[in-house]
Amino acid sequence: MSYAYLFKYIIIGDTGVGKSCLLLQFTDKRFQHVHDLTIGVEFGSRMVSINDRQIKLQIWDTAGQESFRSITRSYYRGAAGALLVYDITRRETFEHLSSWLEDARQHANPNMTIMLIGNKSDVAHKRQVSREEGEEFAREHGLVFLETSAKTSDNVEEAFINTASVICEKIDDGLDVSNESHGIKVGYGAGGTGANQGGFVNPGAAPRVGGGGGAAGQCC
Amino acid sequence: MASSDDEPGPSYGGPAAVDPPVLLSAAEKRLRKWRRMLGVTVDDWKAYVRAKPQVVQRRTRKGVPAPLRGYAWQVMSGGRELRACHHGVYDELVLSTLDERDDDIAKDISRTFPSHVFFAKPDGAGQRSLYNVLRAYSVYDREVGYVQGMGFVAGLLLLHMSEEDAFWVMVALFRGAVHEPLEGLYSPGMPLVRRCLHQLEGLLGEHLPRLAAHFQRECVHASMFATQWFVTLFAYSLPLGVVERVWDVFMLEGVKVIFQVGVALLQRAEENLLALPFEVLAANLRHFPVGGRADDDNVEADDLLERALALRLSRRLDELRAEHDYLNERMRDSGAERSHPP
Repeated sequence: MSYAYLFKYIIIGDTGVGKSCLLLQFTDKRFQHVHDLTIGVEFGSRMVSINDRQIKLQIWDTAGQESFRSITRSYYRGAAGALLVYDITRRETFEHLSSWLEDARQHANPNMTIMLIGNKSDVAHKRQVSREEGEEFAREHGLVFLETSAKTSDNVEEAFINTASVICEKIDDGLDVSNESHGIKVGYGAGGTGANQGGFVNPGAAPRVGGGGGAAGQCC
Repeated sequence: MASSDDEPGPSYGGPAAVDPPVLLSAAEKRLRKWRRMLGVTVDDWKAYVRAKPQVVQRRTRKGVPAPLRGYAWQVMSGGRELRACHHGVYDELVLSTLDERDDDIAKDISRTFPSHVFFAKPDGAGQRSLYNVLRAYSVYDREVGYVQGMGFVAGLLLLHMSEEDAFWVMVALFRGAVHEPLEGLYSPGMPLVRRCLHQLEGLLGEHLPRLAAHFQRECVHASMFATQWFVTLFAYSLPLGVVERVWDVFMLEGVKVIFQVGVALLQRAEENLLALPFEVLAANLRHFPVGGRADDDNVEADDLLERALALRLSRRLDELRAEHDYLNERMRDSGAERSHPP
């Protein structure tokens, strides 16, 4: 299928906060109560439409345990978006956010869009982190914020799609999509090129957008 | 050499010493050979291995009979002996006071072999054993503690032996009672995982140059699919009936077989994988066996192991290990601050 852009996302956060469940809900529209632990990294992808533009999201779902960070750190490179997830029913997962952010700041490109997600909003009676605290943290660190439920699917679409919208705005504001480290690839459906039937254009050879105002220009 | 295979060898006692005058099935014959080989005590086994190492290796590569697998793994790994000289230690560990890691363990119990009948029942016997063994290990080795992936190793052991036996096999494997210690798969920074990934990358370049080039084009790195191979010694990634056969060889011969099987898996799937773009490739690499004969685990294991064991990797693995250690040291010397070259 053709797409205008491909965005690489990475999902990070403590173990057991629901990262894999969010991904499964987004890509397969289902919730699996019992599933295998994520060891290392898992992948998912889905097309979304932002203002009539087809965007392919390529999502990297990482293992949350501290030990794996030495391996998963390298996956920040070339990510356009990150979902930083905590569990609203486990305070400690909220308290670890700063260390995740630090990791992201150190290893990701500075233009990466980060969405803060308080997951498990369906278990409100066990809540240990208020919505206001989440909002406050997001504001302080310049993140976008949502509470979601991977179980009921509440806000899951929004979490992935709003992140894509923000990235699109950045592209329209002139973010250089030919720079591979920004985590964006231009697809063959983007404009008049059409030659790359494989679905990928080598980012170095991609038609310049934003600056030159080529056919693939405006994203959203 | 092949004809000496069926000789009873020096007397090891056991029920197999007297031949009943009936026709035995192939499986029964195999079981009898194995009984004779394993003997009654660990010393019987060691004597047999000393006397006929090739026989032991050949039979192990064909697969340990299921009823004897648990015991065979214990003697091969050295866990049996550790248990014998540490009476009561396991019970103490299980009863020792709780610490914060328990929460991590408890969360992962239902996410370890969730579809296996032994582990599926919430708080059933399987889940409780798994919890006990993992907790005992995390108390036993506080520096390593509990690391995700260990549960699949413990779980596979528990399908063949008691909690206490499983615990001591883990200790034997991780601390290196017989083979090289595997603790580095789990210790902070996972140094052994990183070394294994470096070695695997090197092997891919030589044994599968076309696939390696394709991976490079698609930006697929070995860590994306093989981290779980090493951290769980394939327990997470292959069907149980297949990984059991791989572990038969692993227990006797050590970690080399994990590389052999990894390369063999990729070789068998190479043609399929060469055609795939990143997303499909990534998914396919996590659902082995691609290109295998999936309906019969034993046939599948025979096929896979035949390919795998034909690969001669020892020397190259040593070289790649030395290379990794050298690069690692140089990086450390040149200052840890510079993370990745552009």
